[in-house]
Amino acid sequence: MPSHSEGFYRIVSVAVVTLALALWGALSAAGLLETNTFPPVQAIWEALSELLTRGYSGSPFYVQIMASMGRALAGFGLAVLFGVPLGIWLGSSRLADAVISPFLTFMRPIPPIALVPLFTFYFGIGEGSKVALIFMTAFLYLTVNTAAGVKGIPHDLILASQSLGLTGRQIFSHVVLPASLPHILTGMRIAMTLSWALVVAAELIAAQVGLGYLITDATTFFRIPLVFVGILTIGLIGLVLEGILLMIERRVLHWRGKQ
Amino acid sequence: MTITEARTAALPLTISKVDRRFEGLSGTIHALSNVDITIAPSEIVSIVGPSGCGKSTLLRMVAGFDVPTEGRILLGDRPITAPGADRGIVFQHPQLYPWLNVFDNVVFGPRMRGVPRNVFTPAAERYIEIVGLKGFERHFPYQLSGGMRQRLQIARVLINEPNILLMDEPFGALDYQTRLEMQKLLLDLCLDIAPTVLFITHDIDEAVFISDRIYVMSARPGRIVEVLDVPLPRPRVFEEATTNELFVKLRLQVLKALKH
Repeated sequence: MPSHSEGFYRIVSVAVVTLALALWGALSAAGLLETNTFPPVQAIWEALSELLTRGYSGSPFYVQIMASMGRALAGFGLAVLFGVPLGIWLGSSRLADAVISPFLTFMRPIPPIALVPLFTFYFGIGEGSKVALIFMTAFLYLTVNTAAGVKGIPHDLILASQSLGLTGRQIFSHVVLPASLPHILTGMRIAMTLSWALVVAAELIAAQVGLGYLITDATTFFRIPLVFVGILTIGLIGLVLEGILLMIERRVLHWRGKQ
Repeated sequence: MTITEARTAALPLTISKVDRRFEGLSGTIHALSNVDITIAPSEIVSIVGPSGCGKSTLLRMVAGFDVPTEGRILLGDRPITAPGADRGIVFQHPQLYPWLNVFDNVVFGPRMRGVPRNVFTPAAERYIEIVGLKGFERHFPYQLSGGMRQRLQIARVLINEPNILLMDEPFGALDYQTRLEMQKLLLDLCLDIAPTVLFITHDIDEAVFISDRIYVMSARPGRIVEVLDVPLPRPRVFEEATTNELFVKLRLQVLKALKH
């Protein structure tokens, strides 16, 4: 197979996406799309302008977006707050790892959605259960990733640091932390994406506002263009969030993987 | 210009009657047996031996990462109990901080120990120049070749003005030509700042070329089977030294001792 430059494959990606959008536009213009199954461009456009001007079930569109963002970021923020320190502890203490990791290993493969009923029972139908669900998923991911980062630090690097005269505390803050930063940041990026994706699942729990609520509620009223706008918004925001974190990662970790 | 706190004149290293046994589930591994080595200030001493003979174990004990089961290791008249900046270790695979550039890697030790910036900055510039990395101060380790990374690792320990350099097969992972360059660098250092060096290698030519004295070790348990002085004149140049009659003779003696 002939190999091409990175730029070539980027162009292929852009071209394919443009083509798909063009196809959708053409089918819409030809009147071949059914508004309530796969809506044409103009139906989406109308739904979007309706959302922007009148909102949905009493709340403006931006409030719906902010509600979802707030839940995702609250769950994610708490996960960073607890998951990163715990991960560092598990990565540096073999005993702590032996005591705590079995629980984490057991919890990890459980699909978060399976926890929805139980969390509703524990934390009620308010914000608590939604944030808890997002927290749980992001926390597990971050803890395990951070611990892997700490465990992966070459032992000789720690010895070299001792030999340069560093104290235990200095080794922790100036060697262990920066050396595990690649794993922590990658963990954060993926946990952020997971948190955002989980918003919809979390908002299935009797939410009154939010993008997840919007698409569930609109489906029950067969307002499919609104559902599409909701889904597209979730997708676009997810892309932007991931893009921001990826940018931070690349800037901070320009040295990664090049050793 | 002194960087290491309470640094006195260079101290001799005395390894006396050192034994090291590792207790494991599958029994005891006797790594080192009755090792005696003395290194005077500014001497370059090599340990040559087959892999697994415990030469790295010995170096790690001098570094303070491990303790002898029996016997004593003294720097001057103080026993070695912990790692410290008074002994500079150079690993075969450079253990650099990939997130710091060359300059920051070099000054990392002094900076962490609270040495003032106006002291460590000129020292760093000097050692970076000595190891031949001038002009690369703002480069990151991933932008350096294998030989340059090893130069950086050497500068990072030299800035601490250690009593002894502990080098664990430092040029073993480099290609032949780079290895010759690094050997030359080490010999230049010896003329310039005259560090004391404990050098571990399995390369006989390297050992004879750079050393004042060579200790040959046996397979496990590692024992000293031969001690050879290397009275080759300095400065040594590889092409001349290696064709010298004495060099060839010493080389054969090491080889013979290894087959012991």
